[in-house]
Amino acid sequence: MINLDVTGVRRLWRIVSPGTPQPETDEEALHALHLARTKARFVPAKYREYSQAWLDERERKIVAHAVGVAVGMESTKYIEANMEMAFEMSEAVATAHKDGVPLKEDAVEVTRRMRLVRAALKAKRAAVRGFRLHGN
Amino acid sequence: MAIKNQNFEMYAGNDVELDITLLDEDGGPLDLTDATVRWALSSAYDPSAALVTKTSDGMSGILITDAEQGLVIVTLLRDDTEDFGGQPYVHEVAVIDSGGAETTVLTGAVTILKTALQ
Repeated sequence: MINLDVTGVRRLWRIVSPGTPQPETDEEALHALHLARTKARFVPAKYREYSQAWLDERERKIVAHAVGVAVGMESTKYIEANMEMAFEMSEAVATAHKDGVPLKEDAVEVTRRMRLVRAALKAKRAAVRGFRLHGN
Repeated sequence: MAIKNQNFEMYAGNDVELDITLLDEDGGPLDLTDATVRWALSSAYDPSAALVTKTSDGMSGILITDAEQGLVIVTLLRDDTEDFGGQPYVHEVAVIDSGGAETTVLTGAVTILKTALQ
């Protein structure tokens, strides 16, 4: 079971439980082995976790979480500013992901980080405008 | 104006669900009431030619599970990708709001792994 020996488990299955339904393919046998590894207490945690991930990927069918953001573009005047905003917010999401923040389960934290960079960018723009000389 | 690098990998010919959270520019949930969400997969060598498309219009592969919270699930069926693999792919999601304005909200790379057991 530890080695995911498909051939071995199919042979053993035929000998030990000839009266029960047999896996018809290697894929079915492999699936059964992974399922068994998640249930068996003697299986080391790292193998159990691997098998659980393997099963999750195939059974729940969800392999990806993603985040999208709609940054408004009311006028071509703001295209450059909005591109900068979108870039900074993308970076915030990517950093959150690198930091191990689960994008789906902890959307609040992702949102918090995005709002921080947005506020920082707006503050920067306000500061730049603040240097404009009177009369210009 | 989109979030980039929303990358994922999958096996060719598998059933896959993409669980997507859409946000507005304030970081709050993007209200998808009366909106249409579109998804496309294309070769990275020719991103302008979509190989697979899905839309929430008529629930053709995209389900808006919570419009007010901006939650969307894109469902890929095994037939969609069974012939794919061996080259880089890209995907993107766009939202058409109730006024008809279309905004690309995320893009990313897709790695499609070929498998022997199909």
